Amino acid sequence: MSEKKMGLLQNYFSSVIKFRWYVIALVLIVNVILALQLTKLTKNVHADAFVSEDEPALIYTDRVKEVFNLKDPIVIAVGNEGSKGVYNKETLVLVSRLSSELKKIENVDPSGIISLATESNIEGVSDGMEVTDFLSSDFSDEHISWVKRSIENYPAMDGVLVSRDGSMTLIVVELLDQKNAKETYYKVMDLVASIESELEDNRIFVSGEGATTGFLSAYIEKDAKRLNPITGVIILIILILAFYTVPATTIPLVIVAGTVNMSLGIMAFFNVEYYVITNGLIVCMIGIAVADSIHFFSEYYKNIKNAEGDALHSDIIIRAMTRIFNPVTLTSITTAVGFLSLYPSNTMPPLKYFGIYGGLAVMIAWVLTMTLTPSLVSLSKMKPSLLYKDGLSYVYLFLPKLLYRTTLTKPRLTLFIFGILSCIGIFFSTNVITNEERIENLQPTEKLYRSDKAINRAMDGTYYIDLIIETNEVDGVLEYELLTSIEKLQLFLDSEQNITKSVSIADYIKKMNQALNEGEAGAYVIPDDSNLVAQLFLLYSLSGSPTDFENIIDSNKQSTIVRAYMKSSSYLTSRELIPRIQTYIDGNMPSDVEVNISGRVLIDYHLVKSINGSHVKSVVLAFTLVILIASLLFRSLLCGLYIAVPVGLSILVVYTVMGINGIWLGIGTAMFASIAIGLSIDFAIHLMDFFIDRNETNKGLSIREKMDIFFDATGRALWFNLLTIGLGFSVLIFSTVPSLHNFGVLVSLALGTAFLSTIMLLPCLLEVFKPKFLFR
Amino acid sequence: MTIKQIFFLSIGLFLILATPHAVMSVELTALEIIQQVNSRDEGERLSRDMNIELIDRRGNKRVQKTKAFRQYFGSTKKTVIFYLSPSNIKDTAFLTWDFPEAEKDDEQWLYLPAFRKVRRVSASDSGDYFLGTDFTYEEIKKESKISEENYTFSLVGEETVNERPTWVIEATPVDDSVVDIYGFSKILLKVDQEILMPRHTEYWDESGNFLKTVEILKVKDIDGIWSIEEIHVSNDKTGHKTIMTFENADYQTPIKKRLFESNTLTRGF
Repeated sequence: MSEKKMGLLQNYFSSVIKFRWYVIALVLIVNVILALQLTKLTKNVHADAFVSEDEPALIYTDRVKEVFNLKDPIVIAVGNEGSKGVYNKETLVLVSRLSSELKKIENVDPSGIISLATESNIEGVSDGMEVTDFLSSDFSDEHISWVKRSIENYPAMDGVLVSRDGSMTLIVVELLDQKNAKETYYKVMDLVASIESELEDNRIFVSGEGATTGFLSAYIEKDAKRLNPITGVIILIILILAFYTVPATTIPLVIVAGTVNMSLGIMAFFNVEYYVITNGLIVCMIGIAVADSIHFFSEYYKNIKNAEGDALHSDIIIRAMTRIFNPVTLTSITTAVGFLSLYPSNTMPPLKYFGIYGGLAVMIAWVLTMTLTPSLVSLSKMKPSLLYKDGLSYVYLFLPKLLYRTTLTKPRLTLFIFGILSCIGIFFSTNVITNEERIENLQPTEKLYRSDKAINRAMDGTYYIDLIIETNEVDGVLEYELLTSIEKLQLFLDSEQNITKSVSIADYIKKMNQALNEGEAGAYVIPDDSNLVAQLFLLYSLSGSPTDFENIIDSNKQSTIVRAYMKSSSYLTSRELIPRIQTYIDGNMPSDVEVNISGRVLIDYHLVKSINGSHVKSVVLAFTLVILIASLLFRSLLCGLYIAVPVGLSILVVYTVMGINGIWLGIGTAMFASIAIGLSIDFAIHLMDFFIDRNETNKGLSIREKMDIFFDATGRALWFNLLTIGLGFSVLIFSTVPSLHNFGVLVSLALGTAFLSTIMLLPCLLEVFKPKFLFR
Repeated sequence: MTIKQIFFLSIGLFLILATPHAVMSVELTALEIIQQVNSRDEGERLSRDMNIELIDRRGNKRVQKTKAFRQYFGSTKKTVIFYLSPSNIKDTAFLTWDFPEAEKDDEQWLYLPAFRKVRRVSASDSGDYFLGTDFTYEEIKKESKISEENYTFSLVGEETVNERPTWVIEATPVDDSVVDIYGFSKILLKVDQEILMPRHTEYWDESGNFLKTVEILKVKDIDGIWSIEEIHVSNDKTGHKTIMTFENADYQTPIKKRLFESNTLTRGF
C-alpha cells in the first residue's frame, strides 16, 4: 500500500474515532428508521412468486384462471385400504360429515365444496332422466353399490373424485379469499385432528395448492425462527474460541444485527416481499457481516500483543483498520459482485432480490465495519486477548500448515492429482439434473408431503396441464366437428405415459346424451347436432347451478378447457411431454380454433427451463466479473487467472457432489454458484494481496517460507473467516426446507474446497510456474 | 252525536285515511306483514313474455326469450315455458306441476326438439337453481312470497327503497333442515308498504356468508294485480347475475289446457 493511501486511511479512521459518538448516533438513527419499515414486510410463498410477472405462460394462465374462475383449493382425501375401499358405510358417513363440517369453517366457500356428498349422478331411466345425489341419508349396502357403479360409469369422476381402485375419495374445498389460506388450512387441520381419533380403517390426508401455500407460509416462519438463533449461537461460539474477549464477541454481533436490520428494512421500504429463500439470505448476511469483524479483531489483537507499553488504543485500532482496509474492501466487492450477478442473469424475482439484497448486505456490513467497529472498539478498554499467545497460534494453524507444507514438498505431483480429480469431477458434473418440484420444498417426513404423495399414488393426480380451446363465435364449442377433435385430442393425451386421465366438456356432453337415451351404453357419444348439445346444457340447468360448468367452459360456450391429469409436476416429465402436446396441437387441431397450453405445470416447465440458461449466465458473469476485478486490482490478468483456479475448483466440486448425489439444480441450488464464487475468491485474494504487498520485504524467500509468514500474519483470520462463513452457511443444513438445506451444504462445500485449494494448490502453482506478477 | 263528538270523529277518520301505512306499521307484526305479502293476488292464470338475461362474472351476457304460461288447476299450479330464442334451443319446452302437498314431489318434463322427444326429469330440489338463473326453484315457485312455516320473522325497521317506504323484515329459518333444503341461513326482505311486495331481498348462505340480492325494479298494476316487469338477481359470491323482464302479462285470456300436458309439449303453444 502506498504511503499516501495509508496516510489518507489513517486520517480517516482517526476522524471516525474522534467523532465516534456522532457515528454511533447516526447508525442508531438509521437503524431505528429502517426497523420501523420492517412491519411492512410481507411474505409471498405462492407458487407464482418465482415466476417473472412478464412470463407469457404466467400471464396466459392467470387469464385462463380469471376466465374459468379457477382457484387453488385445499384437497382433503379420505382413504380406506380395506377390501371395499371407500365404498363402505363408515367411510361414506365420514365423507358426508367432513363435507358438512368444512362448510362451517370461516373462509371456506360452502358452495365450493366438491365431494361425494355434494355431487350428483346423471342417470338415464326408462321414462326420463334422473339427477340423484351420490350420498343422502341412505347408507345401505344396496345404495353404496349403486354409488360405486355410478362412479365407475362416470368417466369425469372416476379417478378424479374417487380413485379407480376405490381406495380413496377427495373433498375439494375452495376458499373465499386465497389470502387467508394459512388460517383456513390450520382450521381444516384442527377439524381433521378432532376427527382423526375416531377413525378406524380410514385415513385422512390434506394437500392441494391452497394447503401448500397455507402451510409453507407458517413453515418458513418456523424455519427462520429456528435457523437464525442457531447461526447466532454458532457465530458466538466461534468468536469466543477465536478471541475470548467481550468486545470481540459483542461488537461483531452488533454489526450482524445492524446489517440484517438495515438490509431487511430497505427491502421492506421498497416493498420487496419475503420469499421462501429469503430465510437463506438472513443466514448469508449473518455469516458475511461477521467475517469483516473477524479480520479486524485478528489484526487488532495481534497489534495489541506486539504493541509497546505506551501505545495508544486509538493508534492500535487505526493501524488494524488500515491494514485490513484493502483486503476486506476487495473481498467485500467480489462477494457483492457474486451476489449481484444473480440480478441480471435471472428472471425469477426471488433470485433477483436475493442477489440485490445479498450484495447490499455485504456493502452495509463493510460500511458498518469501517465506521461502527472502530467507534465501538475505541469505547472499550485496550486489553489483550488471552488466546493471542504464540503456542496457541500453533494449535490453530497446525492443520492448514500441515496441508500446504505437504503439497509443497511435491508441487508437480499435487498439480497432477488435482488435474486428475478435476477430470473425474467434470465427468460427474455432466450428470447434474435441472429440476424443481414445489412439494419438494418440504421434508419427506412432513404430513403435507406424505399426503401429497399418498393422494397422487391413489388418484389420477393432483397436477394437470390445461389445454385452452378458443373459437371465434358464441356456442362455437358446441359444434360437432370441434367436439370430435377434442375427443381425439383426449385419446392422444390418454395415450401419453405420464398423463393418467383427461377430462373435457365432451365427457359431460356424452354423459348427458347417454342419460337422455335411458343410459344406453351406445349413446355415450357426442350428438352430431349442435342444437341438441345446446339443449343438453339446458337440460342440465334444470338442476345445476348457473356456474356449474364455469371451470370447464365459458358462459358464451366460446372457449373450453381440456384438462390432463398427472401424478407429478416434475420437469423431467414435462420437458418432453409439453413439446409433444404442442406438436399434436399444431398438426391435428382445426385451424379455425386457437389452442394453447396453460396451468401450473406449464409455468414450472418454463421456470425450470429458464434455470438452466440463467444458471450458466450467472456463473459466467460472476466468474468473469470477480476475476476481472481481481485482475484490475492486482494489475495483472494472469494474477486474476491464478485466483480463478481455486474458485473454479470449488464450483466444480459442488457440481460433482450434485451429480453423484442426484441433487437437482433447482431454484434454491441454482443460486449457490454465484454466491460461492463471490465468497470463495476471498481466500485467494487475501493470499495474493499478502504475497504482492510484501514482495519487497519477503524477497528471496521460498513459497513455503512466504506461506509460513502469510499464515502467521493473516492465516488465523482466514481460518476463522472460513469457519464463520462456512459454519454460518452450514446452519442451513438444519433447514427443514430441502432446497435451502442443499443450498447450505453446497455453499459450505464450495467454501471448504476454495480454502483447501487456495492453501494446497495455489502455492504449488506459484512454485511450479513462478509467475512474473509475483516478483514485480 | 254532538258537534264536539262529530269533530273528533272527523279528525280521527282523517288521520286514519291520511296516514294508513303509518298506522299499519304500528299495528302489524312481521308475521302479519308476511301473511299479507303471501295473500297478494297473483291471478288464476297468467300468460306473458319472459326474457332472461344471464350475465357472467366477466359481464358476458346471454339472452333467452320465452313465452310462459301459468294456471291453477285446483290447488295444483302448472307452469310451462316455451323457448323462442336463441335458435339452438328454440321450441324447447319445460313443464312443471307443483303440488301443494309438501310430501308429494313436483313433476317436470322437458321437450328437447333436437331429440324430438319429451323426457320426464326428476323433480328439482327447492334449493336448486332454476334453468341456469340465479333464482332457486323455491323463489320461482313462490313468486316473491315466502313460506310462513319455514321461517320466523322479525320487523327490524323501515327503510326507503327506490323512493318507496318499506318494512325491513328479517327471516330466520326455524331449524337446520330448512337451511339444508333451501340453502339460506338468513333472508332480509324490504317489503313495499303499498303493494306488499319485497322490493329488495338479501340472502345469506348456509354458513352465514352474504350470498345474493334480489331487486324488483319495475312493477305494474295489470287488471288489479301487481305484476313484476323487471327483476334482478346478483350473486355476490359467483358474480353471476340474472335479469328477468316480463311483457304482455295477461291474466284474463283463457289458456289452452293442452299446453299443460306433457304429451303435447311437442306442439308448442
